[in-house]
Amino acid sequence: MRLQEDLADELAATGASGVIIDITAVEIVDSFIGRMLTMIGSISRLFDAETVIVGMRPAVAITLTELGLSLSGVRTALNAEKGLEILNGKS
Amino acid sequence: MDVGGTSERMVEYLRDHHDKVVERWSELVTARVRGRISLDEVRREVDDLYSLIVRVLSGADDHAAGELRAALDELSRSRARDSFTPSETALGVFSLKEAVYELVADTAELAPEFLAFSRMVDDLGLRTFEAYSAAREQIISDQASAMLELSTPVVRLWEGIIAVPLVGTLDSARTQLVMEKLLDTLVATGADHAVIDITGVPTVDTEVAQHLLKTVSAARLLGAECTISGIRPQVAQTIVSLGIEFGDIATKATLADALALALSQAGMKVVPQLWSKCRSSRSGRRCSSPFRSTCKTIPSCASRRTWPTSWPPPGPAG
Repeated sequence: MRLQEDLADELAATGASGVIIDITAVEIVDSFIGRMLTMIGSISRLFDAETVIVGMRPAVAITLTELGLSLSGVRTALNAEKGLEILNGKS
Repeated sequence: MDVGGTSERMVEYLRDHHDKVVERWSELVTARVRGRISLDEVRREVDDLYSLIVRVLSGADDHAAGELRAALDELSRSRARDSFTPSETALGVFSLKEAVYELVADTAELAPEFLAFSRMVDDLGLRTFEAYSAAREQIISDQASAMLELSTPVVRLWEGIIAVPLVGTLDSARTQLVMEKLLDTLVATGADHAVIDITGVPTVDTEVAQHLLKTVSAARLLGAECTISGIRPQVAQTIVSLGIEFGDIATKATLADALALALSQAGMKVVPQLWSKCRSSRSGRRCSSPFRSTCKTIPSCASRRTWPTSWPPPGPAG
């Protein structure tokens, strides 16, 4: 919740065109986190910024799939480098 | 094993007639296995077993029961390996009753004890049966896990492109394994394209399709694009008639097509190699390669200059 507010404030202030969320350190996810990531994607899109989620662990990906969350509307990449490539390719 | 009903007298009797019983028992067992094991070998096994049984019956030795169980397990395992049926193994044990009964028949006062003794032999026979099926089940589960390991390789096709050739029926356990292996390899190699080849999957039903879709969406969460290849005509018909939607997942007929797609998405293209050994110009013949227009080996090659780039070339008549 805090992250969403901070992110919205920051996006409004800087006018950034891309958001990278690195979840390498996230080992366990639940449906709430999945929904939160989608919501962050939607919020960023309102500021015309693309969201890329990077560094997802295999176990996390399997959990999200089993929960039926495919994170539509959010791009994903293997690591931060590739996430940046996606954002650069877009802009 | 119930030994309570067997009196001292029976134990005495069995101990006294050790050699006789063993001899008769061995004969009966050998007759049953129809000469697949020699009499001497059977006599050795039977002798060990019989001594253990007498020790168990006498009740003096605490370890005897455990030893007897272990000996029986070992016996039925070795019989299972030598492809004897479990019935043959169990009947071999049961024939001890026959051997003892022949001796006890004329001693009327031992009849009640014999009943308890025969109950114990029944237990032993059933135990060989259980050990046999346990040994078989062990073999089967070992093979199943070995097969599971073997059947899910993840191979690297190209820089950044990996492939999973699936062979055999997909069930949830296997899908789980495939998914884990695929995702681990994606992370380890940093690949961003994955090709799932289902040439070896005999049938695709709703469940299998569900598993495939799950795998693809998990790979997408890692930022990798997935292509499903190797869909055979019958499989395609089944998929359509079942109303399975693959959505925006790219599907290709062959692994080669999927590789070409992945390469083009990665911004790469396969072009024919330049000729390193051109024989046509040396032998004076005209070059017939479809790639001669791109040949840079011999710039003055006549075939290269005179023939047009389209293929097939126009014939000499027109």
